[in-house]
Amino acid sequence: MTDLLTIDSIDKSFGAHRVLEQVSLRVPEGEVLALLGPSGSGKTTLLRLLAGFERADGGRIEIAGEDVTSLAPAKRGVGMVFQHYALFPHLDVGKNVAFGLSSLGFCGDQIAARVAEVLALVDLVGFERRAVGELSGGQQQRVAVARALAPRPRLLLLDEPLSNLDPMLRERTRRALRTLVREVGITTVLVTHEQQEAFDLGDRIALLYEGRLQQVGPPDLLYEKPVNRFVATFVGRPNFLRGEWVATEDGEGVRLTRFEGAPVWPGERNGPALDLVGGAELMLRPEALQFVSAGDPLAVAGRVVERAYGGGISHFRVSLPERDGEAVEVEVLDRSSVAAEGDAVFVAPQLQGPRGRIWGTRTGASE
Amino acid sequence: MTGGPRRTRWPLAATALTALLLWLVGYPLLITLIEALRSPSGGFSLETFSTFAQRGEEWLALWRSLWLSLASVVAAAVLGVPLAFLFARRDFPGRRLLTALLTLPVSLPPLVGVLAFLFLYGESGLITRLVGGFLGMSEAPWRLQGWPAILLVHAYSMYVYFFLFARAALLATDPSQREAAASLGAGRWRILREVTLPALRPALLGAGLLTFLTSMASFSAPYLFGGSFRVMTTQIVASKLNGNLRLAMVESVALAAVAFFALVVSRRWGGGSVVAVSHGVAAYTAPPLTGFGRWVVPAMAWGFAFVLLLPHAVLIVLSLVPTATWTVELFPPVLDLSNYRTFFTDARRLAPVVSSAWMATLASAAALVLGFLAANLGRRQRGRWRGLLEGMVVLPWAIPGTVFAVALAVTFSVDQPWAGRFLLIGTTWILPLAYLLRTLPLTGRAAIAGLAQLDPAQEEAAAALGAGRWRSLWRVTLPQVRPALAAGLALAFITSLGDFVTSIILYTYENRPIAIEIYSNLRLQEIGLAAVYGVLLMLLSTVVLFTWGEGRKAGAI
Repeated sequence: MTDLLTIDSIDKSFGAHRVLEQVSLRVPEGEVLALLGPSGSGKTTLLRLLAGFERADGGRIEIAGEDVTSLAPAKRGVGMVFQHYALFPHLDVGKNVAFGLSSLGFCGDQIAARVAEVLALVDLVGFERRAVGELSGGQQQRVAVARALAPRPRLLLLDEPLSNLDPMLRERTRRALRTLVREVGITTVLVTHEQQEAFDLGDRIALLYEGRLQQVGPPDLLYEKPVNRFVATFVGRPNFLRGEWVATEDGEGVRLTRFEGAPVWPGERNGPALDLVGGAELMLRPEALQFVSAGDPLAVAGRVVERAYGGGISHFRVSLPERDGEAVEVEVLDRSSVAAEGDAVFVAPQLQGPRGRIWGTRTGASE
Repeated sequence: MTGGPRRTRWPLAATALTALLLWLVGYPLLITLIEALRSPSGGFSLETFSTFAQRGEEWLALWRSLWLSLASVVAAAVLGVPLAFLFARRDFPGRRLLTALLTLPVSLPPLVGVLAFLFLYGESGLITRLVGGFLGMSEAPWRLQGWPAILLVHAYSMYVYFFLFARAALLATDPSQREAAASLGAGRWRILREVTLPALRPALLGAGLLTFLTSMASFSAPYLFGGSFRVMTTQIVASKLNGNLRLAMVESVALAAVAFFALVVSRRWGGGSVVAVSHGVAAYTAPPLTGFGRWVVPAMAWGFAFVLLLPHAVLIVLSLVPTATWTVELFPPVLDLSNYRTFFTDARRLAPVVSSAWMATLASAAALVLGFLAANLGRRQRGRWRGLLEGMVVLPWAIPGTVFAVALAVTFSVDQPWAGRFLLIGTTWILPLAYLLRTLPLTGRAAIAGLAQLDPAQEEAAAALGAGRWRSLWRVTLPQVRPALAAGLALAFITSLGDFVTSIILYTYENRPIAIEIYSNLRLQEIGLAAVYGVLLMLLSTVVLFTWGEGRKAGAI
């Protein structure tokens, strides 16, 4: 597949504040890329650079092989859905959707036909004459999507497309949006600060923090093989356990020092070149831990301090007295009350499924 | 995360516009200051300033302007704020209609208002005669002159600012704040003092500043009623008419300085904003009045509206009284259309209407274009440039019209094209220019406010859909700011149409405007014809303001 969008070493500052630093990304034709990050991470700025509302200080942006770095927004052939939709309140639904078509020089009949076509696509057949002010939030969002798609843009940009909807509606709209984007097959970049949204909509996720790309990849890669502490924390819930890196017969692991007997919990490094001098850190997801019997070779003693029943899967917080009361989160199937608050338990990692990640404790968030 | 479409570039168009505005607005004031500092022989000296400082009457005029303006603020607030509470917090029959009626004084050009007060409460005014006749007095029971007369006119026309600003602010405050205070045990007075009034502060300061500046600049009322009670504006015009232009310049500088100082002080206090509006306010249904108040309050409100409408009514009545037919009778004995016949059949009588109409149209249209361009270019720029552009547009708001008239008379009395000075005095072009300057803040503020309400994403959406700058401006920006622009244009038009304050200094006989014609008819005892012009101005102003300007919106600017 060819790359529709190429972002090459983009730098952007607002005054003395560096918003984006050496950001490079490639988005193949037809892919949905989710730009994920906390507020202030630079994701919105990156989207606005793609749309042409901001100019990069350095670097290059190509759409379908054409250098658009300093091209005006109107000439980029990019469709955008704004966070608050930015529908034109003085125009009806049909005229809103037709706005981009008349810029292209379509004539009356062609416009009407295309408007009807995209309105059907977003399930708003016959809404042409309605005033945008009388639509519900969800309908407005769909009009905004229809308006962006009408001129058949090469690239669709979505700025927090669901943040303005109430939670119930968000769920439904997210599914509809996913179906729609896949159906149209348009290359899409969306900005969101919600992991669930990024996971649901994105083929791949680009995680930004403090203006730098932290990791790019499919959702499961970011969840299972985060490259650093920040990614692990922002995507899902992590347990971090410090110790000492050791090689084992079947790979590598972290020896949980300060423990009686010091078991070695298996894990995997992201790359062999990691600096482990200051000690290693093992990252395990809550569901990668389990309750075991006392005789398990990897068992670590603990006490349940909190149990949150989640209907099927329950969430436990277990303090480990031998590690000065450090607590870990454990998530297990909870059909017949595995443990209650105050119970003494033994915790060990699951040996099936993805392994824990290991990196040096010096590895900062911005590696 | 980031702001709107900020362009750091400073394009040629913006530079040209800034230069034009600096020349139009700032330059005449600067020339006036420089000329004021010049001695009659040519060199720089403080001679005229020291003459000014040594003359007691100058200080007296300045002092009178100041305290009269403060008194006007108090009187307008006392009248306007309680009405705002009544109309925002209570429901009663006719509330909507009355709200519209209560704003009518704004639409009356100052000179026409003064004229109406003269016809009502003047020595031979309708009310004066009625009261005198009722009391069996052979002389008028009062004389409408001096500061009480000026204050009366000011209170009548300026309470509307307090009424509109306070009402808007009251409607914008969240009723649940008061409910929260009540549930915390606060009584009515404590809620008023600690919850409601603090929320009203910006609106009250804004209305106070507007009233103060309008009073400082007020000319028609002091000119016609003041007599020997000179305020600064009438003092300036007297100096100018006496041929002492240099003294008039120094007086103008002094008046402008006081007005400007008031503006700065009020900004310091956190006022001066147009109307404070908060978002997401729960709907509040005003409870109906109950008990005794159910009858008394509407009756009083209607009575008040009646008094407010008397000036409008008396203008119409007087316009129907043929010249010299009403002498000692209580009511005019003859009412017919002879004044209107004279007016419509005599081309010389129509000439001022034609002059005022084209000058007002030209000036307000130019003010609209300049105001919009400055606001639109200004919002795309950063701090300093934006401040300069918007400052030049808004500055004439704080400078009394008399001062601008003198400044224009000074600046455009010589032909020095290399210095940006042209000989315009004595030509037809000086008045439209003066009107343009006076109305620039009206259109400019409307444009700034309208554009500020526009979501920057709107224009980005248009750009993303392939619209260029012009299409975006035409199809997206303008349609949405049109109501604000129309309101500004309406205000600019009626201000120009009824202008008296700059006209009296700058007019030529060939294009004398309506207000000048009213004034000369009044001096010639052609009361009926003066009233005809007054009726015409009143009707035009009211119609324009309430059709284009949606009345209340325009009034609140």
